[in-house]
Amino acid sequence: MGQFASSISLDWDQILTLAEADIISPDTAIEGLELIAKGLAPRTILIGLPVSAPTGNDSKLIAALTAALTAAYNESIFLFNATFPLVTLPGSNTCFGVVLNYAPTAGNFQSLTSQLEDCFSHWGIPISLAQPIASQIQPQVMNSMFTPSATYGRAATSVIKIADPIITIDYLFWMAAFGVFNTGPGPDGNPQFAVIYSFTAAIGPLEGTIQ
Amino acid sequence: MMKTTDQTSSGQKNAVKLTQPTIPLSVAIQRAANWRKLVSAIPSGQSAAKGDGSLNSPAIPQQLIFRAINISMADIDALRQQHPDASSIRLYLSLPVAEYQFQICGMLVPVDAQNKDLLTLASNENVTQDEMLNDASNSTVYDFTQPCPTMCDTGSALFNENNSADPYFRYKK
Repeated sequence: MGQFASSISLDWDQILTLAEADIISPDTAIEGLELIAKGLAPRTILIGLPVSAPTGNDSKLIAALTAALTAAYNESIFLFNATFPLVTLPGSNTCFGVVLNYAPTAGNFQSLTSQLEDCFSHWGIPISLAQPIASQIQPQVMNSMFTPSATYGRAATSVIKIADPIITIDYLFWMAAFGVFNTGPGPDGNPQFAVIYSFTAAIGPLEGTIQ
Repeated sequence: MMKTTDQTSSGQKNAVKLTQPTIPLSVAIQRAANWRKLVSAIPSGQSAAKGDGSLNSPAIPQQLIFRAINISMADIDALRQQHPDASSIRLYLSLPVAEYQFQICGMLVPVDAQNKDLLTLASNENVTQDEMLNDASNSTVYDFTQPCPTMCDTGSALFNENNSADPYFRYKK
């Protein structure tokens, strides 16, 4: 899929530095990043990034990257809370960043799976849930046609509690916000791409009654 | 669902049956494509930056065309329970934050049998007009929809007519 410059292993400065170095045509990238920031802006300004954006570099490209990342981060949390109102989202359970040299292969989710496993390890979530979630997210990103978008889902954990007649299964609820942008022409003249993303997830119960 | 009656050739009425107001998937795909084409043709009134100056740039970028509104089924169930007097739901389009022009959202309003919006709860006379207007607990305007973009299924043939509908065909196992 590409190389992940992620908040799970890098600080804010490192993400921006790596992304900036990977961008071939700043003007082209800024156009796409501004569109992502516009498209992913949530309805209410509510959160703000967990770390402050770096100061001292006032380039237009860094500003556009910062705005797009901030929008993706805010949107993923806003939509998580709107979609799963009964699930408590821990403040730390969000990873965001940039996928550099984005070149996905249909049916190959290994790179995204590894990234999700990293996130889940940090959050104390079973990493076995990463692969099925990656297989849902990647096609949505590939089909997005540069439309900044979000998708969500749930995956059952192996935790089942029975207090007859109530059965409770712990699920992992997740939300991903993303936007693909053009970084400029590569050495062969073909356009290169990157992805702004933010992923958030939390475990919560679903209850049913045994008949 | 609509109730309809069938008449046989002998003129006898059959039992009332239920029909769903569905349309074929192929028609839905075409309708969704028609909508995107219309919206993308709306000019902004400004010349495209990279064009020859004679063409207008689109008012809405291709990537931000408003396509759909996602509504939780649980929320519809709750609305139905809270408003048993409603015979339908009206969805108003809205822009929650004026400067975010592409975050179009829906507002759901129960509608009574006389086609009148039910905009507030029936409250006692102690509730002031100001409270009726400004207190959310008196309102029956529901704000729990998510627009596409951003909440999309980008693989759907309704999102893009070039997507295959095959993965969406559902068969009983």
